[in-house]
Amino acid sequence: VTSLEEFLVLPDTNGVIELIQKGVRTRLLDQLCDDNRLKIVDAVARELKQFASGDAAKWVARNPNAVFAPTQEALDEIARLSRQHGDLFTATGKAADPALVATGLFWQQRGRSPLVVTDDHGVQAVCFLERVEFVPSKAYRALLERT
Amino acid sequence: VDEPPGLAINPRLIVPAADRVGLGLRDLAERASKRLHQSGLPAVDVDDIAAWASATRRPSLAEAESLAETLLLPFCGLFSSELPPTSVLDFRTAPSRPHEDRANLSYETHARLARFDRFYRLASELVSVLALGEAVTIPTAPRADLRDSQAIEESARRIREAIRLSDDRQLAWSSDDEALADVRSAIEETGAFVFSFALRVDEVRGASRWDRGGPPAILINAADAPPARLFTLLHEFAHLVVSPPSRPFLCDPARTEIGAEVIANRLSAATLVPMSVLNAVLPMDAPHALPYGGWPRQLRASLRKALNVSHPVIGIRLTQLGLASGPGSMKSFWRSGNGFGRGRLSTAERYKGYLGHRTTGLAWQAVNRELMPIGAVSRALELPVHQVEAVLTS
Repeated sequence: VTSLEEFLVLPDTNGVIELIQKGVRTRLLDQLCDDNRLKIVDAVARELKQFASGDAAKWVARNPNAVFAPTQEALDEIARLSRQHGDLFTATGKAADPALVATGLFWQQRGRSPLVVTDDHGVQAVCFLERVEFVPSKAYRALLERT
Repeated sequence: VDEPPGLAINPRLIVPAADRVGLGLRDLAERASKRLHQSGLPAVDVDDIAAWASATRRPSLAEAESLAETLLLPFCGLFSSELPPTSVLDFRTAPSRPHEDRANLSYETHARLARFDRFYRLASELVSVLALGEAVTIPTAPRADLRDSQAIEESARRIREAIRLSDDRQLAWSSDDEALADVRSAIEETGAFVFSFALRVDEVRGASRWDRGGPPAILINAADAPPARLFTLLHEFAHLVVSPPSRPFLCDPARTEIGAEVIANRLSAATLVPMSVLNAVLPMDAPHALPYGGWPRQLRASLRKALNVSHPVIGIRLTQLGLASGPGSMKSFWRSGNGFGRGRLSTAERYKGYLGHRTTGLAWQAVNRELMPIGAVSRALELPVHQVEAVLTS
């Protein structure tokens, strides 16, 4: 990943918390949401409401339109990914992990280029196996700062 | 065939998974609904659960998530062909219960053991990101070598050495709490993680875990009285000494007359009350011909105060060493402790107690050095990020 223009960004819970805690301006993330270049998977949004605080919690609350609720097709992908890669999604055991990859596949099939922002090695491994692009939050932050 | 809409979980897992954690379908619906309510989502009822279990309907993603959390399963476990196994745990229960009577544990206890599992995963991740894999200094004493009392005494001496528990240090303890804190801290220095939170005392007093490639870890029950917690701590430490993951105990039918629990009890008692310490505190005129329960109350009180261990342990050790004719009939001196998790402590203080110095210190290092995102600690502890910051920095 060298440029961000083409991507539909899908951050995981840690990704959002890290980006905002480490100084990425929420206005920049708002802009990405408005441009339909960043989506928050609804299971991630639920986790953020539960665990995030301060700016990260406020950010997810003010971007309801960016929340992606899974369609039946995405639910079927979540079921398949959970069956096929359940052993890789063991670090947290949360629904957000397969939902994130399934959302990536959903948008990939619609011609978008999803980019999952995650530091979770299990999610990264499944992204690799499913050919969904991913990037650690630190690297994504550096790319954002560069652009 | 038209499939119902929703998430295609394995419907056959719901009833056995609920049974395993002691929940009926109505309880399951109520508890899952509480979780949904916290996310601002509509409740489910027993008919919904029954419909999911009979595959006539399927849950939404949020409903499936609350179902997995309530059943204490990882989310992907709902899609397995068979019920995923529980984590390998060795736990100490009340003397009146059959050992590892897991099927009859309450849901609350299952939930707390699941918390131990989450903490263990966090500890494993910390050891991995901070490259601490070789830093364990727990002595080893395979069970096959612990056939007689002399071997037990020798292993107890090595445990005292490993945790740097000298006679002078023990005799300087001024309270049960100080004794517990001192031994907990010393055990953490050997590379083990020690967690402490309240469970039902009649169900689980402590547990230990040491996965191959993972760190050793101990759970003690904060609802127990401090002397009981101290005994349990060393009992669980003895399990780690006897059964490290790199040296699994191979069952020899000729040598199985002494169970692992009995050995752990003996090692714990011998570690806490060695002969040398007894020699320092026993008066010359102790009534050795009597059972310990029949010794003068004042003498028992002074021994208890000097050693900071419980009367039953003193009684058993005196008997084993031939210094009393038996432990005698004693009422339980173990009162329920005030533990952690009660209202007078803040969340940060409570979690510091749960996690211990080693875990909080390592998590702080890992987050500060950007080796682990704070969100990962937050998810493992199921605490909001600002509270995790308070736990790690307070």
